[in-house]
Amino acid sequence: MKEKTWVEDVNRSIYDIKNEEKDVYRLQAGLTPEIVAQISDEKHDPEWMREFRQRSLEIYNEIPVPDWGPSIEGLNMDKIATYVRTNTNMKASWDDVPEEIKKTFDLLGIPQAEQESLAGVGAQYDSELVYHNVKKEVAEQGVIYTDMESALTGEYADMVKSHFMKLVPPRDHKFAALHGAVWSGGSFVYVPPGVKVDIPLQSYFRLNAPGAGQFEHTLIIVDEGADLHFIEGCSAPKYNVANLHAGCVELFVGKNARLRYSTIENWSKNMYNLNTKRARVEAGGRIEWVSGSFGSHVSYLYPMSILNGDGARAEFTGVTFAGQGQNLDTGAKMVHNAPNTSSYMNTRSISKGGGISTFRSSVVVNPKAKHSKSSVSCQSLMLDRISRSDTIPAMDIRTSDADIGHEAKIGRISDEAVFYLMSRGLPEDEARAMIVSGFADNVSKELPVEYAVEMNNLIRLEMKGSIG
Amino acid sequence: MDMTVNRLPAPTWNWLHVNEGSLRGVSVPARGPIEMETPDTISYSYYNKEEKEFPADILGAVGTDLDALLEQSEAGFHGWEIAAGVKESAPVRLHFSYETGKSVQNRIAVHACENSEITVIMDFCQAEATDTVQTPAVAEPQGNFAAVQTRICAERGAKVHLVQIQKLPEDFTFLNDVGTSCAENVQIETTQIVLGGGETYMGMRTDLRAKASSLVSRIGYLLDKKELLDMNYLAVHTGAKTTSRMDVSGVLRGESKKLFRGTIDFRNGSIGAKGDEKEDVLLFSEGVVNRTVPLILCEEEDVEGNHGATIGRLDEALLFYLASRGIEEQEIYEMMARARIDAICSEIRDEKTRELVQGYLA
Repeated sequence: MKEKTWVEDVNRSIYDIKNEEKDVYRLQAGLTPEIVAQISDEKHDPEWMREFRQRSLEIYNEIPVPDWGPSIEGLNMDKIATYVRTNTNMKASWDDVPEEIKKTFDLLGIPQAEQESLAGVGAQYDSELVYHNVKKEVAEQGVIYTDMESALTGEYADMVKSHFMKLVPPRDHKFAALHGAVWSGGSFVYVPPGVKVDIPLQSYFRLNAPGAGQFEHTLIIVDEGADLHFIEGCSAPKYNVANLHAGCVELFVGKNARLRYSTIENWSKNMYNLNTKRARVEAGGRIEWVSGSFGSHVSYLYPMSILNGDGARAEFTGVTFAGQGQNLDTGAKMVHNAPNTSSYMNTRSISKGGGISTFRSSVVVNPKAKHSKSSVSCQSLMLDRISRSDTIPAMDIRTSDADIGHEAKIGRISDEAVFYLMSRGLPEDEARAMIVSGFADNVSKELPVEYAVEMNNLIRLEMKGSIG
Repeated sequence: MDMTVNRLPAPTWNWLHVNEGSLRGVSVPARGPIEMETPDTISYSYYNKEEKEFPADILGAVGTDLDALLEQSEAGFHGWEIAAGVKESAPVRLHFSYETGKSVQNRIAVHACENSEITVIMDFCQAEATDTVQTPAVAEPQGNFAAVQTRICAERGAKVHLVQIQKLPEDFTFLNDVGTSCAENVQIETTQIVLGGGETYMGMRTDLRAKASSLVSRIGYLLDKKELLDMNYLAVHTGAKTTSRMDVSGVLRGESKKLFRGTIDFRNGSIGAKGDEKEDVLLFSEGVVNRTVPLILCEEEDVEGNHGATIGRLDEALLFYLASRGIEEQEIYEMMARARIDAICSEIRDEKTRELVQGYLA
């Protein structure tokens, strides 16, 4: 008889590397006007940004916490340090990055990926970027890929000012306001008209400090007819105190442009991931979200696509895997504001070991969006009786001239499929892991192969001990 | 009083305005008139408040504000009971005829004992000028308002058919709340057709508490002008191998608004349960608002839940085909709207009720 393989916690190996906090500048925990002013000082904010941060803090204090999602009672802002940086500035060569930090990114495979398959890389460690580089030939095409701080005060300052938190205003929700007050780090990308970037850019966010928050801001403008694939990765070691991630991603997709935004989120399981992502798409443009959510203790993550131009399109392909101690509330929002727009959502959720996975979505079709189409497909897999999986989609259709389809399914791994694979010689745990990987192939087949492999490894890690 | 009704069992973003419905300034309703026909095999009683309490352990879906409102009324409730093993093919008929300017309520309790079978047919309409029935009022309620609360207790092996037909005027506010508790092997079948009403709030909760109990719920609606239909349907699976199916089909015209909240809730213990929701909405006019929130909540592994929705206008190929047969576009739309109601109406076994629906459609 096969031995059961209960494993209380998966071995997160490389993701759990902890670097001792030394030679680090850390602002005191909490959220006050003085702390926010200190962040402005640290970052040499222009005057408008100083005011913007303080105004955002006021809004943060006015807005209540969400009353509809997972509990965030365990998050105490008085115990979160909103700014932590290593005493190094951003480098353009990995050799110049402090050894310990470089080693972490080496183990995460970032420099190797940069050499083999990326057009540029930004690496953030706690609150600041420690490395940023873009390939010469991409830069020569006019592509701008830099850290947000440089963009804020440099040549593109006006462009940043006219776009920064315009898609996600601080009033949007409490944690957008928080982000507006304490944001730090992140990337600015501008792709000029007609430029097609053949290989992806990647930003990797690593939060090493316990009891800290990471609030990076990603601003991408893909101009008319341009094309870009941007990859975002994130991870953190697990601590016994809460960490917070409240990043913000704003994507502007121009006329007939295309942007693919891929994320493999693997925060540690003490992380509150309250992230906001939004794209505005002009006529003929296309946004493609590819999203894998594996980490975090609590997650609120719903990339939003605003289809503002005639014929604009949006696709969201996502997988969420909620294991023990995780409550992952993920999904997407689509807003059709123009004629002939189309949106497509295809998601998979997996719950195991007492984890809670919630798929939440909205499709809003406004009266102007004649001849629009939307299709939503969400599937959930329950791997045991102690987990939970909820599906909460909403549709608000305000024109008669639209075609809207929705389908949702929930179920378990079929015994027949497991039996079939076992009869071909696979042990039961591998058979189940293989079935779950297959279930999530909507995402893996959309990722570059290296990332698909990483995602399948994460699934295999999470599936350890799933028999019992 | 101000009321919050039809709360979504698991709330979502507030900006979507789908988490609940709200009514302002509702006055305490008086006991409303009912014309009734009860077959001899079924017992009927009217219970004053002091005699017997309206079943509190069977929950509806409109919500506790409606319970509180009706508790304030002096009125009691009407109760029907069918004895164990009795299978009655003739329906209990309840005709609710509402007068303009009145605010009324009725509470209905149906008790189906073991292995019995009962059909209850309700129709809600506006009273003719000559059809007034004086009922004592506990307050001086104002406005065109009616609330009906139905509670069904179905014991092991019972079969209950509930049919509700609504044809109310545009200036009427109507709350219709149904709650059912199902023991082992119970079969509940409901058919509800809404053909008019200014603001209608409908809720139905079915607790499939024991093994192999089942629900089939069909809802059809035809909305026009500025009518609002706000629905909250909930199938709670607690028993093993329970099944639920909700079929919702309707047409929106004019500037009408519809919100359908449909929830399949698989609780621990519902091993082998299956739940299906299907919605099909035709949008015939600019200015309509169609909102749909189909939830599947699941804390059991071995279950199957499905939801499907199609929302939009008439299929262009069908439109072309019918137009090529010489049928005017307006006529095609009317035909298709009617076909949706006809499809649901055909599931009603009672011929008199089918004729009533056809009469309303005409």
